[in-house]
Amino acid sequence: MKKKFLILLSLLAIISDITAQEVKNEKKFFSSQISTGIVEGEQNTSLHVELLNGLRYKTWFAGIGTGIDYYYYRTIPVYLSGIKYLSPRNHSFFVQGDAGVNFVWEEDRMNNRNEISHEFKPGLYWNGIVGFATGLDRKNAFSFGLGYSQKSFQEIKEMAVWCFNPPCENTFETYKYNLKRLTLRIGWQFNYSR
Amino acid sequence: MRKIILLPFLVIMIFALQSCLKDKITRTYSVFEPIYKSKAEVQAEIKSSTAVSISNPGKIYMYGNYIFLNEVNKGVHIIDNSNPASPVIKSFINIPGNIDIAVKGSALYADLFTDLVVVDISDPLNATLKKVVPKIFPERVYAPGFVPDSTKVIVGWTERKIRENVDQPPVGGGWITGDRFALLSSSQSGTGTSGGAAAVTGIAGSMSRFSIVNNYLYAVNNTSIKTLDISAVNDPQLKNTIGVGWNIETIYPFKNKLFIGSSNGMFIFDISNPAAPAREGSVSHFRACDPVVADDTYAFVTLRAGTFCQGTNNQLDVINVQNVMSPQLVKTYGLTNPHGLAKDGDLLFICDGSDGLKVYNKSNVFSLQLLDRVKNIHTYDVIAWNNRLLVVAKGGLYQYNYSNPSSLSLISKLTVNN
Repeated sequence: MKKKFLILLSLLAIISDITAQEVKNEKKFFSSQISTGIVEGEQNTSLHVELLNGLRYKTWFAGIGTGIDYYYYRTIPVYLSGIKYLSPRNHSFFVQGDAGVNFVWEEDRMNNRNEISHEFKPGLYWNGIVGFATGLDRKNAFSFGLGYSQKSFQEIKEMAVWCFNPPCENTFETYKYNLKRLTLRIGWQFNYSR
Repeated sequence: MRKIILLPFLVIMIFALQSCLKDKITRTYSVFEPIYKSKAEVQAEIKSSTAVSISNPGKIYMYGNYIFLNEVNKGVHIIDNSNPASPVIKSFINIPGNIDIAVKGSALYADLFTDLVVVDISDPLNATLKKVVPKIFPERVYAPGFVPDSTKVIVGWTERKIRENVDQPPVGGGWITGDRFALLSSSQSGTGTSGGAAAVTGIAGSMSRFSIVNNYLYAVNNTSIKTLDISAVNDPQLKNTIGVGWNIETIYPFKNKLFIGSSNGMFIFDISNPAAPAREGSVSHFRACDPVVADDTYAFVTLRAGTFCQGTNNQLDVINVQNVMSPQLVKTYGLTNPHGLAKDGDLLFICDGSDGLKVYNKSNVFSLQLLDRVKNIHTYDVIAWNNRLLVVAKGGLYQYNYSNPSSLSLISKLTVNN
């Protein structure tokens, strides 16, 4: 999982570098955004970091993003994102919607002694944000946003039973997580010409 | 104007979302409700039925050209092994709660929860119940809080999926039980018995809790050895109950000794007086599950950690038993998840769980030499006899030729059919 994530980040960074040129009042251009912030939910307050790359056309943006989300379980969301800027000008409110898949990047943890193994399965990830972006110059913009996000995943635990005479079959428990959070995000946006 | 409208919208949305911040975590697990039958009904059904496929193989017992294979908690498969390359399941004897088996002459001894049953198998296709010796074994212990109806017999379990919301998932799960239900696997067992090795009556795997030596059947339960006189094979008589300790697991006979494996150590009993085994030496080890095989000089004990065997070590202990009053641990070897084991001359065979079957040359116990390893089978117990290995694994019953111990060859396989 870690390796896949790093490869994905590298690819996105390479795409960003290749297309890095000055924006010249174009209606369609490549845009990249790095953002960070906190997610606040029932369990705790956690950090998230995201990288989003895509194409902007007039007041619309469509792209693909990924990141790290530390809320409850460390997860890697991979999602498609759409943004609508409410104004074509440098300073504008925007509405953003993300939807994709959420992978658990497992951390070491303590296991109960009768847990034999466990397996995580990915689940749905979505995020809705309203925010404000302000252009600092032709290719840099600062943004912040508030939103609401859900991430889901499953954990299947194989459990040993109280067994006097083996062989004994283990049993399975399934946990479904649907975690709901408010998100506060600040981001830096880079715009590039094609 | 648009910005003015948007700001209050943002504030409203944030407050509205506060109520939507409750995480939802659901836990789905199984509970099992017992299916009861009366003892009379169950005893009436103890007879040969048509052969059924192997589903959850347990302990094995070899007797002549027959293999008796326990179907955990269900009964016994009778397998005609006249041609090891093509064994044939001849019939199935329905014995609920059965874990352990032993055979002498035409009598099959089996546990039926707390009772010992004797089944006449002179005609395997027409086996009949001969006798029930009640309360030889203690009541089984299931999950905490569940007490079975001891006036009836549990013949099966109905599984129900339970889904519940949880505030916090446990860091690994835990016991799940209710007032009415017990969580346990379909193969959960409680007592059991049987044992053995190369007795004249047949050969049992090392995981066995029954052992027949001459005219006596020795059965261990969690705390004691039961001695039954089986001079009249269809009419066993309980002669003695001898306390051993706690968590007794296996029994292995060698000459006039019984080697008893418990989760805390190994005990040696002398059976010069077969009706009254006399305790000799013992050796303690850390808590683990531990079948044992032995010869005149050494006992080989596999210690298995994890699950409810507790402990953290998986290993083979070699114990010098020349002085039976004071056995001494002489060497330890690391293993993966050892279960049953068997020996034949200088060869030692170890079922190492998911790590397969391992064959060692034990001529020098201080430096065991791995000769071969059968991978990709999850092994449980093994019998070695006359260059032929019977191996019980999750996948079924395997037979190997070990005339060349450095390269076992598969003779046949009876596959588990789930």
